[in-house]
Amino acid sequence: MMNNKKIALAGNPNVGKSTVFNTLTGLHQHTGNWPGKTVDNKSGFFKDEKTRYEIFDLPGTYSLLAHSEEEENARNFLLFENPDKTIVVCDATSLLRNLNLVLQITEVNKNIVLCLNLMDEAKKKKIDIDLKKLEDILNIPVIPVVAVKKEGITELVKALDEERKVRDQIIYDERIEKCIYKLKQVLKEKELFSLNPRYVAIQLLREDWDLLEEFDKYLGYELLDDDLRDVLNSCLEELEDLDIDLLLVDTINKKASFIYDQVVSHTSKKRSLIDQKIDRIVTNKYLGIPIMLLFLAVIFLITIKLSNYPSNFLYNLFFSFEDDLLLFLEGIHLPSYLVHLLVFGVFRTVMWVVSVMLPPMMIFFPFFTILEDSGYLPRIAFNVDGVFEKCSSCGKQALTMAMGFGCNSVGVSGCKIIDSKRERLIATITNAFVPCNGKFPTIIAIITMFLVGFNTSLKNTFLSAVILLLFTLLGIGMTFLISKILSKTILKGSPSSFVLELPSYRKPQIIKTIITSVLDRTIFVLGRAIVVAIPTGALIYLLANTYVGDATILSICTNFLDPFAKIFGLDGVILMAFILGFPANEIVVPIIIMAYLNTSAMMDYSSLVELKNLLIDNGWTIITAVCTLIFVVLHFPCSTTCLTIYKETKSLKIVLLSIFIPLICGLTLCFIANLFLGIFV
Amino acid sequence: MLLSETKVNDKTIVKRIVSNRDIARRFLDIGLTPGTVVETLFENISKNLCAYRIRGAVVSIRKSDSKDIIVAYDE
Ligand SMILES: Nc1nc2c(ncn2[C@@H]2O[C@H](COP(=O)(O)OP(=O)(O)OP(=O)(O)O)[C@@H](O)[C@H]2O)c(=O)[nH]1
Ligand SMILES: [Mg+2]
Repeated sequence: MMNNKKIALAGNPNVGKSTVFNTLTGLHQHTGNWPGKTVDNKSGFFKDEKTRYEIFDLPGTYSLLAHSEEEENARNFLLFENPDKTIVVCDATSLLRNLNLVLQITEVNKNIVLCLNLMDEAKKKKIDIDLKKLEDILNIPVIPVVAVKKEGITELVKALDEERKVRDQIIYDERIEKCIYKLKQVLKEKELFSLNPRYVAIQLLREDWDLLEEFDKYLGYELLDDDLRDVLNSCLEELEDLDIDLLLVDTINKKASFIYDQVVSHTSKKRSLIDQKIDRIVTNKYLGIPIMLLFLAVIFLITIKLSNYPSNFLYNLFFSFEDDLLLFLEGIHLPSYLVHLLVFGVFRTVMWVVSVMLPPMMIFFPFFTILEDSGYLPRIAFNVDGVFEKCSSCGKQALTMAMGFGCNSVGVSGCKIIDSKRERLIATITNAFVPCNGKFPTIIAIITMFLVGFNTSLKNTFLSAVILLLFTLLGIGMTFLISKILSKTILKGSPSSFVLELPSYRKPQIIKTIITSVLDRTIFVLGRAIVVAIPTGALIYLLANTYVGDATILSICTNFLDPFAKIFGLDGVILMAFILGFPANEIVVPIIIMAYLNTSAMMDYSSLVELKNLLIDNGWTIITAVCTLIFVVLHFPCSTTCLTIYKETKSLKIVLLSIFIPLICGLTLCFIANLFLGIFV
Repeated sequence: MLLSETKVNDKTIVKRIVSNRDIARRFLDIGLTPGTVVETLFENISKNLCAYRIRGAVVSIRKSDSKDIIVAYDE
């Protein structure tokens, strides 16, 4: 019979918890060199000979005091889920601060294994840690690990079997201890399940009422009855002259320093020279912002340049199949309308999604992930914080925006790292202003067709990259504007406080990152193609070929929208495509193509050149192209993002705001662009 | 003197923190308590945010928050 054990992975932010988790479970939880990458508990499984472990990757937290939602997630797990073992992952290069959390966790959970990660970095910095001594002091296994190289992982798993319980470490000020004792006497009479009475007593003294509410929810009864309240009040009166939070933390800090001094022999007093040098350049007064834009431009350039090849390859591959598929389906005597639906509806939509949408995402995403892995993102937040403070919002919004490049839905869940509710909502509502990489292929295709031309010379590619950058900056600019407006109106308030850690630079795992993120995107896009593109492809084909009177349903709809859309430089088909594309951005263009093909003499398109002709035949001008580009960047978030917004905020109002604010911005800008360009063109 | 008034490369010791409770707890989190040595590292472009070295880690704090931290030079 196999045992089952529940394991928690806790620790400070950015110490490699998710990396350890991935190594143990073989899963691909996202990692990144900045505090706040993981915001939700995630579970996985692994086994050894005797035991089946369920392991939970928790968000990083500096302490158990918990201020923001992701920290609450971590704390509540340790308190209420009662893990059999807690692996506390520590950064060997900053053990002092990490020990604080270790000591706090000893107050909650006695079955602890200390995983000393990033030993490679510690070695590089010549930090010498006496593992044996640390183990003796704490009376728990201390395992040195290099998670990215899988070193020490077997030992870590072995240590999960140990029975040693952590030695109690913390003794507070005498007066506080007396009160803790008094409270514990009362608490002894109550059923506390897995809660540690000493810990509960301390939290009562801290008057953390939010946490008390969580206790009640967990226990199923009201903890603070009259007896307890009386004792607590007398205690609080006695301690009135003390800043309890400060005293508690101070005691723990002192203890951490005490242990640290015994086990770490050498610490350099200076910051690492490399970090200093890089920071001097990337946060430089004059160079900081240009470097940031340059990074983005170069990534765009590479994306555009490189995606041509797989794109053409996939396109030709699909295309060469089309006739065979047609013949085959006719061969098995499917009714011809079904054959056409499958080939011209389903197959072509999937073909577009896979060959045009996938390659740019597949190339952009890994580059972006490498940048993220290096530790550069927090520096961006550092550089641009001035603007956010002017907008009365949180500097960490820059991090959630950066996540939005990968996927707006991820960006929205990432907003948990922002403490203040007001600022979190601002970041949530404006996240969709940042174009996710699912929008890039459409933008690139339109730029190629109408603004730059088909020649793929370096000059043209460069021009495309710059235009793409400009449209991205349009989205970012709108983020600032709307954040500011929100701060002055419905989400009124002044900026609240936050601390932003700038982690040490780490050498990104280039090969591994490329492989996992290419896989990640491919699975993501193919998954959406199956779930969304196939059924919508079929649906659109039906709409485009079912006649009511002498017009198709699709053309009735698009004709209806047409006069309205024309005001904004678009047309009915484009608008309709965006509405139908709500489940996923990727299918907007295939819908447009199908709708036009339906009304056009041309029956086929096999390249962007022909596609351009098709669009021009249907009345596209450069104005249409520009307005469509604006609208691609600024419309409503996709359905997945809307669902995430609802899940995170539980507020329909916020979802509606997140839909209509970008929509109104987009339409307004289209209207203006249409008007102005109309004068010149 | 206030932490927000320190110059780049200054090394100071925290004397008192007078911030409101929420941010004070954040400061406690990162080990910023009275007696801690703080090294002022560099400012950002708009000079509203400054990076400090605290207990071996680099942490940036807005000037509007660091003005609530009273520090003194190390004797
Ligand atoms: N050099 C080195 N880098 C590592 C090691 N372990 C993790 N990393 C890197 O450290 C960074 C942070 O790793 P994550 O696993 O995302 O950290 P986390 O603790 O889950 O972070 P949060 O979810 O933000 O709390 C990533 O860029 C990893 O590639 C290690 O042992 N050595
Ligand atoms: Mg993580």
